[in-house]
Amino acid sequence: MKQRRRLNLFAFSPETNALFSMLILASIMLALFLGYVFRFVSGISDPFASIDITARGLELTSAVLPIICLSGIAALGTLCLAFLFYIRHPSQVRRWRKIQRLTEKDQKIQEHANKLALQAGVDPPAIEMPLQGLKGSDAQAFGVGRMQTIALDGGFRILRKTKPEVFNALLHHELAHFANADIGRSYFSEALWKSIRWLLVFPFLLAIAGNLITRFIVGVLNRDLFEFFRNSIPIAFTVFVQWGFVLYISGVIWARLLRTREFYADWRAARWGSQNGLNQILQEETEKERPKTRFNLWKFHPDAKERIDALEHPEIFFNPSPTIIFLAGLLLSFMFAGLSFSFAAFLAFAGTILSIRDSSTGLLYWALTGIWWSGFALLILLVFGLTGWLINGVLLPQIQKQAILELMNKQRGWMQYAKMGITSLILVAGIELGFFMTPFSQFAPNDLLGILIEFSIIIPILTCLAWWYLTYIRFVALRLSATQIGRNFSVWRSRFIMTASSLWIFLFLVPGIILSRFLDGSVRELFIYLNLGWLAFTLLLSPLAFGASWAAIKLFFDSQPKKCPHCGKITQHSAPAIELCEHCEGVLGEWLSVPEK
Amino acid sequence: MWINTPESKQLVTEVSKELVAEIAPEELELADKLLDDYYANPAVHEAKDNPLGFGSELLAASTPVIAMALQTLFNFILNEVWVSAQKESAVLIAQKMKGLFNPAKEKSEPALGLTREQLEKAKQLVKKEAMRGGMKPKKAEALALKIVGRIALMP
Repeated sequence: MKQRRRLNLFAFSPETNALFSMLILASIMLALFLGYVFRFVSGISDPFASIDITARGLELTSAVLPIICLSGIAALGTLCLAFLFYIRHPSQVRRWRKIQRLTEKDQKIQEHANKLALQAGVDPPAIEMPLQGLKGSDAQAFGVGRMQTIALDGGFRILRKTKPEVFNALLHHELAHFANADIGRSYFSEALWKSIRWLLVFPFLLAIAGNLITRFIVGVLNRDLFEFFRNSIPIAFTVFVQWGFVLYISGVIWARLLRTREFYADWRAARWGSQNGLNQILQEETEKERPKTRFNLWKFHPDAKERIDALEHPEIFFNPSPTIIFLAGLLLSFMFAGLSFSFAAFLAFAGTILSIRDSSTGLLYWALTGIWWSGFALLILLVFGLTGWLINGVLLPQIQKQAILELMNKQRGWMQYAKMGITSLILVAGIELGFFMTPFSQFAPNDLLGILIEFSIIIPILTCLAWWYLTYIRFVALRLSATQIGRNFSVWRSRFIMTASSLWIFLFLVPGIILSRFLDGSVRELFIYLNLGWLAFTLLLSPLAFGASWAAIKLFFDSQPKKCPHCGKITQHSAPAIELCEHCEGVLGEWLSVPEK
Repeated sequence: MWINTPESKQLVTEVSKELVAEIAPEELELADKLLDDYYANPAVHEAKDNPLGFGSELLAASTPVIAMALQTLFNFILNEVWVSAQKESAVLIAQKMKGLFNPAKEKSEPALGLTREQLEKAKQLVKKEAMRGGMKPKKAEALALKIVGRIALMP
């Protein structure tokens, strides 16, 4: 009998990794935005708006220093506190669940768990349970580093004897979290969310409310200053809404991370032979009459029905997720806002460095020049590096998976490329909304003409630009994935896709997004020319890049006939990754589907 | 309260085991252990909304839920149907309850049965209690039907 195979969710970078990185990024942005709020609270006028690159001296530096320090401390503090919460999570889980190491009478449970772990190829975890009790059937994997532990409810003492299939499925599921290496990410995300609540939300609310109350009292005591209070209400409201929006987005990412990890763990547990056991548990859940209490985006766990569907049809994970694409767009604009803050801060400090340099001679002069340029280069690298990482880490796997799914479903032709217009529209919608919702909307148009230009010119151009990128990367990913055979996806193919994507992003996508942000500033004319120049550059060079990529793929990856890894004979399939060998009927693309144990 | 007496517990244990044999025979061997655990801690296990847990809980054992439903039913009968019997001795009440559940075997007085309306109410009560204990609706319905099916109707 042929061994059953399951579509490999780990053929591409798991979504949990992307979500984790997105959460870290969103929380850093939240912390940086706190500095902006401080600006409002302290009544400092926008120092960045008046930054003059030629400014030399300490005035500018001292004006922005409090904001930079507060933002930096908030970001660092949030991450440090999150780390502290993360380190402490095992003791908290133990206290909350009232569990401890198994005693002699429960040793069989530990032995059974060890057996399952060894069969699955995972290090045996320590099992902990309440000392007494036979109720409950929840399980939870936790631990820092190599200290892997699974907490079980007292009901497992019964389940082991009465429903062994269910017992194994629950243990397999928890072991799968270790195998998927998502324990650290999940608990750190939870810790980060807690840290955000404690270190950012409360100070933010206090600062805004305290400031408004103070201004009100001052306004009541001195009628001349009441106007000052009245003017600050819309600003405070806008900041509140914008900051709340970024916070909400962080929460959505966190909840999605928790939901996604469950699908991946279910997938692996099913691969280890526990699909029936999982179905039993989930089926029972679907039969319970429970009111839906939480908005879909904020659910910590997927519905039982969703989990059953995902177990039966893992290919649904190869469909692009509009939420992830939208979130990627949002974070892209948050990132630009955050980086512009860093850029402005650098310029403020650079002024001081340059003024010291100008009054120096010899080695010190050159050292300070070197520092100035290094900082500048570092910032440019940060802009492109972070953007590239976000797009390559989040968007690229989505497109790769979609391309493979369409290949498997025999959906080919131009229509598939045309459909990517929707994806690009979602991405651009995320980018635009992000620019409007970053505190003080520094990159959003602030007058009617600007908004008109944004909607009638910039959004259509950016959508076409995003579509062009997605089309290109889909083409490259499809060409390289369809012909990949064997057990693993070639490292060189992966590198080629990443490099091609990065080059395209840096040459054609990111410059367009950045330049489009300066069309309603004081130097509008200059930026109109720059935008037109970049557009011409993209229109001329991107088809060349497309052609060059096609030629490189043909030359380096498709020049040799493909041989079946089982029988060694040449296969004639045009997309061998999804086919069986015509000679021995062996699976050619073993990297794409894995055998069930 | 009769429901807290050893006689009541003994009756609950007895009837529970009979029902476990029909509804969840795989638990029969463990029934004593499960009932002891239930008496030691009769509170219903509340599934916590744990973001890092499995996300779905199934009923680990039906035995405690059956015992809980029976206790609720006995309370209902004693407080709403046999109000006058409350002052009688625990042994006598236990005998009457036994008779109610198995009239032919216990040769109880025919007047101690329940009316159709009371029986319907008892069925709903048992189902609700079983579901509160974590039993899925279909199984809870089956348990309620099995229990009320044993109760004698008032002649």
